[in-house]
Amino acid sequence: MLPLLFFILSALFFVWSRIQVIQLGYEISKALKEGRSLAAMNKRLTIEVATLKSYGRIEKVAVEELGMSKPKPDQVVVIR
Amino acid sequence: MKKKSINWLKLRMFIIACVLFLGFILVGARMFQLQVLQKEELYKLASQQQHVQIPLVPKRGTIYDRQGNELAVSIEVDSVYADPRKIKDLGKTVSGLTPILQMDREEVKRRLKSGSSFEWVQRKISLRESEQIKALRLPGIYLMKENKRFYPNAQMAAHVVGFVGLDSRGLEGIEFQYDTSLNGKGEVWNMNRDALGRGIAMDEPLPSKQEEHYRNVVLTIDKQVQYVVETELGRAVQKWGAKGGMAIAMEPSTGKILAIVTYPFFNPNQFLQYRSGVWRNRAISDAFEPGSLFKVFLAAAAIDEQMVKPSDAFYCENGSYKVYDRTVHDVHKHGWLTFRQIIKVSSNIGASKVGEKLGKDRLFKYVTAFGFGEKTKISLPGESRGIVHHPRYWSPVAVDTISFGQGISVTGIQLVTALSAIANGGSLMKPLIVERVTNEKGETLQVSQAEMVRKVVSQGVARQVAALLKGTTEKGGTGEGAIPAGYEVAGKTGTAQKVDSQLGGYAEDRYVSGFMGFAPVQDPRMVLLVVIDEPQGTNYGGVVAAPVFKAIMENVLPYLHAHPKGTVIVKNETDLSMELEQVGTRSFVEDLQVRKGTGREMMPDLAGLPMRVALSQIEGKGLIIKVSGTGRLVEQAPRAGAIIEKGDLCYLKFQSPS
Repeated sequence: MLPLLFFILSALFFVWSRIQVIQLGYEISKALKEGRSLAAMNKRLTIEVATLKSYGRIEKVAVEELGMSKPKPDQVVVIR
Repeated sequence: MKKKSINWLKLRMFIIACVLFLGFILVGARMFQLQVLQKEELYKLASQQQHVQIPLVPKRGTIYDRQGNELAVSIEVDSVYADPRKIKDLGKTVSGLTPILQMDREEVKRRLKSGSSFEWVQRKISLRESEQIKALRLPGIYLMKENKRFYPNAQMAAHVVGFVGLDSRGLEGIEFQYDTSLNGKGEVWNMNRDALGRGIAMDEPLPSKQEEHYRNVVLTIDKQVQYVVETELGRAVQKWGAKGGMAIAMEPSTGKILAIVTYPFFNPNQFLQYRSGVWRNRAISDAFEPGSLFKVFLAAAAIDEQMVKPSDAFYCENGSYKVYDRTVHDVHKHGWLTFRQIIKVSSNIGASKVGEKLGKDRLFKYVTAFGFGEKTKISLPGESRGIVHHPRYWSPVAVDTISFGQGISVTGIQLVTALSAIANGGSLMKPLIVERVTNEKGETLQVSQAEMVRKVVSQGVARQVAALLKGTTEKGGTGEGAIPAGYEVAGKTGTAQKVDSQLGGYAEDRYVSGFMGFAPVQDPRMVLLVVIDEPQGTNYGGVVAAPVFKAIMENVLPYLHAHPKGTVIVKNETDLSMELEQVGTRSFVEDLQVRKGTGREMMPDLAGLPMRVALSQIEGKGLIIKVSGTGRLVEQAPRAGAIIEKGDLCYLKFQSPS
């Protein structure tokens, strides 16, 4: 009786573990997909940052919107 | 009866047995058919359905400037394609796609009607467009990932970076030159799939080979410098209504190119909207007659050969000098001039006479030694070697005209490289545009080393030439307008008539105006060439190009840590006391010498003052001030009462009272 019970239990365990493996396989592939789309998103944001960092734009914003101007040489203090 | 009944039973059993047997045979035969006869086919079919291979788009490396700013990046975008045979409702599909993609209705219709099983509808569409198309769920319309090259700085450094075509192949610039390194190989991502088409990652999902697939290229270009040079050059070209212009900035000690600009600009994101001539990097691909700019190298040759000393005098024929069938003219009439003055006022006649004294073979030797007539081997496509004839083919006047830069064609990059040799003490460097190449993880694979081509002149000679060139920016020199405030500059102006390609000879009214130089003279950080093509109104290099040089230098030199005289430098370290004492004793000796002079200013007593007050007291005296610590002043050098002069070093040490 006991060996039979043991056999059934181990068979059930085997099936359960297979199901787990497949489940995890689904999850991994989902995560990979997500990772790829996040990487693509990251790249897109990097490019957006690079575009916003373009000096022409920064100068325009500084001069026109914020009313800044270039410092004269005697207004510059260099910190070493 | 009895017999019959037995027969019935047997018959039924027999029939059932037969049916069962037949059934087994059928199952067996079917098994044989599926497992043996169609085995290969079905295996293939199954693996096709169970495994998906997702082709990953080949990535392309990024191009950076030397500070790590992106100049060219790739992103994955969707492209729309159609399988026309699977389209169910043509009219609905066309009217669905047309407004999203903003395409011509007829054009879309034509593409969707074609007989093939694959037809591009639109390539490389935006994220929003692809989401809208996905939402429509049109049968027969599919999206595919493709790489799109994107240039976030638009026009900046476009001529250097270049651009890629639709198929991700580099067509110009670095994109072309480093195409094989930048381009990755297409790889495939294997995945299993279940009956519903969901992906299951059963085993190693990513390609197991983790080798590097693409390379990133880091340029020596500095975005900051490039921006300043582009802005100033563009402004000048527009101001003078010129046809174009170019500028190159180089670090003389290493040959690294900090900026290389060709005007007119173009936006590589939409390169097809520009004429293909605009794509060309004229700074390296177009040769022009350098005019007076070339006198720099005449001077170097004459001094290195010890044929002429800066103080030697030449008679400048009062502005008109006949050599064989030609007459050489000067802009202003001069009598006797020393060699130093010839360079300063840029006399063509004087230069001719120096050239005659030098002789054509020696002149040619230095022309080639400075790299003219050969490619600089910069890693950019389309470089020109210029035109330098062998002395055997020189006309009798060639030695005169070449001495002031006519009858010889050079490229901008050649001029800058050669002037760098003067600036760095006589070494001709190979110009570098690529600083290093990195792999996809950002690890450096290959670093460009500064490479000396040859030693052209000795350090002493280079110094003497630099001193001559400094003369042109002094009062009365042609390059007066080129001095940035607070710096010493060595440079040379140039104005050259353009060669008329149709008629031959020189065009009357078309000039190239240029200025090239380096600063600061004592420790050159940057060599800069500015050339304006066909300015209107005036054509003198000193008027047109020199102010551009000045504006660029004023903006860039502080960035390169070369500060103008009189800048307040605050040192943020506390271990300065040693240095302070040494300076203190030295300035004591200097005090005694300085005291003889009159009208000099005295160092005020700053003891106990807070930093702001102390600095305001000595500001405007032209001192180079170095400060350490915070709080109130505890030490100062020079001491109170010492005579100070513009450009003196001044150390202040502060300490908080607690």
